Amino acid sequence: MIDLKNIYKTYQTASPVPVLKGINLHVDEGELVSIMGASGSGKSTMLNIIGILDNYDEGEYYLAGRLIKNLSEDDASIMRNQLIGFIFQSFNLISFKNAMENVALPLYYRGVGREERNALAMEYLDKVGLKDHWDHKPNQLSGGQCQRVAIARALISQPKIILADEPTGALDSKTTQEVMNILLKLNKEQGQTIVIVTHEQDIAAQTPRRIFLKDGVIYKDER
Amino acid sequence: MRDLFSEIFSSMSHSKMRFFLTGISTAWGIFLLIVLLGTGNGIINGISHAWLNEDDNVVTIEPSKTMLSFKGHPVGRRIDIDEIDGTLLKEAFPEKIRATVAELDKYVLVSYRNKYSETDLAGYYPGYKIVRNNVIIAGRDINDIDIEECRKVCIVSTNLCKRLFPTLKPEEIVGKTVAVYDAAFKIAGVYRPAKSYNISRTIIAPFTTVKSLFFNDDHISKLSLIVEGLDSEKANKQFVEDMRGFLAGVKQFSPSDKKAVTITNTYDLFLYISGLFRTINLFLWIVGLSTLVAGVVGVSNIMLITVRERTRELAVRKAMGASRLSIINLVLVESVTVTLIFGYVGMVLGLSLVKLAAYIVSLSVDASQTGVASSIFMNPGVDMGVVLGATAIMVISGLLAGYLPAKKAVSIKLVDALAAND
Repeated sequence: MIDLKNIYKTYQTASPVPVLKGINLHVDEGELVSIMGASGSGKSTMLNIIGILDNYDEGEYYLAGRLIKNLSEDDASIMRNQLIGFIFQSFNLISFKNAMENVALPLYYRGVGREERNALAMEYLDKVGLKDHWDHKPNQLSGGQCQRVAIARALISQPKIILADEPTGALDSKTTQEVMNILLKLNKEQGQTIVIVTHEQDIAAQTPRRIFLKDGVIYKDER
Repeated sequence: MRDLFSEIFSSMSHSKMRFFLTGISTAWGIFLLIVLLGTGNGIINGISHAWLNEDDNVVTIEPSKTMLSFKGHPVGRRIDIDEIDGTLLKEAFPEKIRATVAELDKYVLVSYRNKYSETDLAGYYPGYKIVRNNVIIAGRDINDIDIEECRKVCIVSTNLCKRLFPTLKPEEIVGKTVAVYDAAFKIAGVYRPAKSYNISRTIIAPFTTVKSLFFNDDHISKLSLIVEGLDSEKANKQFVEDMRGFLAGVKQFSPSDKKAVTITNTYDLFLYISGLFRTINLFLWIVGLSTLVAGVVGVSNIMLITVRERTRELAVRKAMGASRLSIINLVLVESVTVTLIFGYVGMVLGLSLVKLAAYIVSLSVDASQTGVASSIFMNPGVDMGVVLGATAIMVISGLLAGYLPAKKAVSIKLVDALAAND
């Protein structure tokens, strides 16, 4: 599903900073993987490359069998829309849209009609247990509820992979577990491929595979 | 499309106050543009009405002196105009000259008892009205019998009456006798010049009477030709040159002598005034558009702030699959929508004010009994072209105002924007 071959990435600043120095990683369909590492280890950059939010300098990246390299901005957008569901630490919901409209957003950019996408959005809200809150704006929802809306939004486009960047970073321990349970269930019951970036040991401990980054290289890959 | 607009309206309702305040400057710009052009048109209509003979193009020929020697004749020879020249010209240019009016002018001293005035005495045939648009308000006009019998009658202008008969009404003036030098003229009628600005005190008397009393030859002071079918500057210039050439043959002066006879054409005045109007109009457009620019800059500024505030949201949209074009559209359509909405508010207010002005002007016109419009300001208003033009300007302004913000919006760095914490 995810195939990173010898990926290099350097941030071109006044004094170039190499962040990824030859990453090789293979993730199969249906895997639940966590990526760990100290800040500055390159884990976020790696996730951005996997999520086609950022480019890489050298190597090859295949996502669902397609080479992702030197895409135009619009092609990258289309790829993201079709292949990837994002979950962010700070939820990144649109503040003036209600839960249903937020969930429906990826389908809007896929050109799905209003009624169909809203109906689908209700379905996915139901899956995360927030059907009754469909018309709430993000500021009327708790942190855990926001993240569940974001999960529904990530799922609605039926992506090949879900990328979660510190999904529980902004949550307390109780809601953290609620969100993790949803992700674990998704992986177990539907075989959804999920990549989680985290720095929390007990989050990583719940995933079958853990990858550790240090100074731009993978130094441990345990199952 | 409906989705796009609901996106825009939800983001606009997000910052209502800001859009309202910005929109006002756009509304003000368009308002001012419409009001300026509307009042400008009012002034233009008023001036055209007052100065231009709407129907007829009048060419006048007056005697003068040569400035070129010709066939042994010396420079400075006087070239006279005679009554017969009208007939000759009409025969020479039957297509173009509809009528001719001969006129005798003399600057005279006129008196009534102990009141005096210096003024023009004009000798006319009854048909003179095609060049002099007077309104008889008491008594009668000059007629054919006056001409035949060389009657010493005259009609006087209201302006002169104020001087000679300050206390009398027009009806009471008719029948009085005034002295032109030592000749007694009976007042047959009182006229008012059609244009209110006209302060002429000219006394009008029968052609034959004036000729027998004050002129001892057959020459006339002025020949007016009503011409037709000349609707371009070139045609007018050509006609005047042809006519000069014809008169040069008759009067024996050089055809290239521009001073031998004085030819004036009201079309030149028309051209001059049209040019003046174009300048006024251009000036008003520039002032109006300059004001609008302030509004556009305001909208652009506010859109820039909006884009900055929405950086995170726009990045999310891109992450979810929004294309560059859809992001640009989001900003541009919003900018155009704001400009159009407030622009139309300004336009409607501007049009209302102009209509109100037109209504007030029409009231004052009705108040003057004769129904002849006398104001320098009349029929203010803008035509459909201006409304459409202003709409186009609003759309273009909206696009211009949104250009920079939209450019900024698509160049958002996804990674940075998404990672930013609140």
